[in-house]
Amino acid sequence: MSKQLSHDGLVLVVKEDCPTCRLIAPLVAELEARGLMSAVYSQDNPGFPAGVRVTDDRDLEASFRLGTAIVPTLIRFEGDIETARLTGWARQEWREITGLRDLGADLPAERPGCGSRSAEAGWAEELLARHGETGLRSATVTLPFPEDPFEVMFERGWTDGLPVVPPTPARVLRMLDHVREAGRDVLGAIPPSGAPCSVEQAAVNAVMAGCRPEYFPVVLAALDAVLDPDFAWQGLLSTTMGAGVAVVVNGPVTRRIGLNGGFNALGHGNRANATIARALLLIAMNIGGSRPGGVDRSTLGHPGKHGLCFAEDESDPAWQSLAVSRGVGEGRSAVTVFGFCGTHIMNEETSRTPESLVESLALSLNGIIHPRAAGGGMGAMLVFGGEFWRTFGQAGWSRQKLEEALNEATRRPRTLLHNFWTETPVSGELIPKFAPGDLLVARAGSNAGLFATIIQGWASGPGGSQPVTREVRS
Amino acid sequence: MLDIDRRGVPAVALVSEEFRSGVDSWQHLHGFRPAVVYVRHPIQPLNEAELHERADEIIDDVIGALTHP
Amino acid sequence: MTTVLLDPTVPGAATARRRVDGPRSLEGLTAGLLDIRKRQGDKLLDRLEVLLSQRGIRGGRYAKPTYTKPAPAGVIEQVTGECDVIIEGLAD
Repeated sequence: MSKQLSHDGLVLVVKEDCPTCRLIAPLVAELEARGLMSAVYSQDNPGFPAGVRVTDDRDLEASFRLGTAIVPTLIRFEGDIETARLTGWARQEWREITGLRDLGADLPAERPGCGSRSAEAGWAEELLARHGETGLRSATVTLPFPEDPFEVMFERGWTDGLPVVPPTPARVLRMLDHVREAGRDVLGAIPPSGAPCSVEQAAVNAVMAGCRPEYFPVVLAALDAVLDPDFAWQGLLSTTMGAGVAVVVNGPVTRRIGLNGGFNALGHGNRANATIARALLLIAMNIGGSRPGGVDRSTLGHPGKHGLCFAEDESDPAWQSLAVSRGVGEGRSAVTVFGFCGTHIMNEETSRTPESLVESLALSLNGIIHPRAAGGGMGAMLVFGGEFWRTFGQAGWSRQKLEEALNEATRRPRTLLHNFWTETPVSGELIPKFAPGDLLVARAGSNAGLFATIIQGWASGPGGSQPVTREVRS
Repeated sequence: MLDIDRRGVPAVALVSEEFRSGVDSWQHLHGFRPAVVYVRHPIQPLNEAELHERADEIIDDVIGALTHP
Repeated sequence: MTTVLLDPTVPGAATARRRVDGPRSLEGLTAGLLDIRKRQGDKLLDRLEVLLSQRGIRGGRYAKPTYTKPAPAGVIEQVTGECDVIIEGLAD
């Protein structure tokens, strides 16, 4: 209920939990007795100060509307117009504003105030949402008690099957606070419907995904990347093969947001890993209208369709990061998005040389799409952990050398191939499995375990989806 | 299909039967019902003769979808 | 205590658009066969072209560069400019 905030006279805002407010409390009765007080608002105890008429402002509405940053705040109103304002206690200034030349004679000359409760972390957006002009443009849904917002969001089809965080105005404001873009800026048309998505709408879905506000610049970079025509997000969202979006993050932002690139990097347990790519899926569903069995024709799908996001392991400077290999400057934060249709793990305990390990990895990679498929047109990402890296790193292999070796080792004998797959005319007896650039390589995972994970891509090249890299704007 | 209709040209889409729910969703999203002729599924494993048979099955429906007597 | 949520969705497409009516007959007209480039579709369109021709309907052949992306505007302009009706396929 909105408080009537019409004042003529002195208005005081205090909280009992402030030593300076307690210091000046005895003066308030005197001011009230002389008829000078228009209102006294208490932020934490309607019985404080004692002996005067106090308005309970524990909901902080008056504090917010009065723009209170410090307590005590003393404001003089003349016919509803503010004519003077003081914060803290300074005897001379208080005497001037009250007109009482003897006020506070037995108090110290001055004392600083304390932070207003309305300025505490978390309150600012909440109060703006309740009492101010948020500038938000999304339609709203108001749920009276005892409606359960989690159930309502399921009923309305706003989720990916898992619960989502209620996108309250305060949460969305906090999300928007973390980027320079304005909420009304339009980011692009979201497939399959082509509906435009604003920064605000992206923020609503990022809140629902469970993102913290500091993840939002990464979400926006990833969204910009998936909207690149080369990524063919429309195709990925509709294919019977069933594709999700993998987001690989490089640079200092990974540490700032605590994105995992170590143990279980591709798995659960980390909020940033679990929510950043999830925001993209919710945007595709809620704004693009993508629904399984609708425009999304995935035959089987896979668990990764909820979204995959991890940090590349950049601990060893001898390994050139994925972002740098794709043209991003050293030390800059970037995302690389990759459409993927599943993952499988490869275990190899016997190779002691990089050449042998490459040959072994190639055997697994040759299963992408189908062992009888080659000649390009398919994408994959090989992710390997610290133990495999040790084999390459100790032999002085660079990223470039490894990628060349893998592309060479994955060439397939023409006689093995099925012409269902090899429509592109190719010559020679050995056909490359992957077109140049279609096999990505990244480091992640712990330093123990002789494993690589192969992330299976979708169709690649101009007829399919290509990975896209974008810098993260801080 | 929407682009084509906006330019005032009658059109029909040939779609596998298995995609009916996809077409319904697309129509709902775009607020537009294009003319559709459904083709018996599956398509990918058929040989040329079998594909020609599919064409023979649908030609009358295709012409019907494009005309307005 | 009420909870206010921002709606993450956009309203469904507005009023339904009615599609344009076709001619009374296709005889003597040109039908554009627009291949969306999904594998196998061209063979089915080949046969349709023959069947149309048997019925006095000219067939023109056009194609999208790939089925994975929307048709470029140039392709749409060409086929709608040169043809009286269009058959687009085969989606599977």
